[in-house]
Amino acid sequence: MRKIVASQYLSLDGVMEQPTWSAHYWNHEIARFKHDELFASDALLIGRITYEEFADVWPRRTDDEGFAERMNVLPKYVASQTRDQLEWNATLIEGDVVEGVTRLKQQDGQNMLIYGSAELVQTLRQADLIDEYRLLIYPIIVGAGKRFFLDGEQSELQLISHDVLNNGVVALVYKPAAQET
Amino acid sequence: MRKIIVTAFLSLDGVMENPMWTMSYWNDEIARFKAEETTANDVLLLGRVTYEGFAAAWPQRTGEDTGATYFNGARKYVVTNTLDKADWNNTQIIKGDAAEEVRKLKQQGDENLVVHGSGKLVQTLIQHDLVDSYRLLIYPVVLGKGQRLFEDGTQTTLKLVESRNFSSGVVALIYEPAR
Repeated sequence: MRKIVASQYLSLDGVMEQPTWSAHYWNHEIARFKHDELFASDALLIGRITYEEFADVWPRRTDDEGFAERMNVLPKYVASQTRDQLEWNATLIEGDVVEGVTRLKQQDGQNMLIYGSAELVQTLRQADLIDEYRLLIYPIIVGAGKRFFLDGEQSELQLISHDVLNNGVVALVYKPAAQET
Repeated sequence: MRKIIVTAFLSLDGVMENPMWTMSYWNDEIARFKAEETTANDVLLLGRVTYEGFAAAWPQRTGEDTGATYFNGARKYVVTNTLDKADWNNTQIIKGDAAEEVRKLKQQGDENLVVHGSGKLVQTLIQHDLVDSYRLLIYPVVLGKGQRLFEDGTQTTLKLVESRNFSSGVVALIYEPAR
């Protein structure tokens, strides 16, 4: 059984869309945070919109740390009701998303990493399939754009770690709160 | 000049509405954090919705409750163009252009103006660069519904001043504008 990890850049008002405002804060601490989670994962799990954005830009990127290479090489599983032709080493999750992701989760392997993909996160959160949230909270109120947490059901979480980076970004890691039995 | 301090209980998805869900997380650390806001000789600045919620709840609390003593006793300004009277002890109504009126208020006296909740008012204050400090308690819960503190509005860049991690999994974040 592998873990599903959702990782996201968030403004203080919870916006995740097109986080170009995060670029200005990039430093080695954030690079390490993002590097660690990617190299602890052996597949990406993403929604259609994130897939389209990523498949457009990542194949052209390179870097010295092997980050882009890993982004490009890893298998991707995409939740979409409208696309069936996928590139970038991506496979469509056929049929019901919750069933499909549950099957993937039962396989052995490293983590499956979710970037962005608010609708998918919403669906998986409500099906209790997300094992970890890795959130970088930026000291900015953006005032517009799609939020990461969409309206839906309530979930209780548990804070695993809290780190203040020296650029004022706060790294918060949560897991679902233990179920009462 | 007075400072305007925005303080709120927030879920991880940014909801501030009717924060009854915060009760099970209450502990000494949170009590101390809130006490830092409620022991000084501050003045409350509230939007109409928050005012009505507070005015319905606080007068019924007993004097044993230090929060009640503070909230019931403190001077309060409610920013509204719809209320004609505000009966809660020591409340004054502010009508007209909210930003302009608050800017005037900011120049009178030395006590801080503390804004609890009041999403719409906060939006106006951000837009006019009138907020001096944000004290946010982030709870480890995704609520999935309810009014957010930061609804759509103006972009503004902040500076993290302090961050504290409480044992109940609540994180306290204090920001100032990056002016």
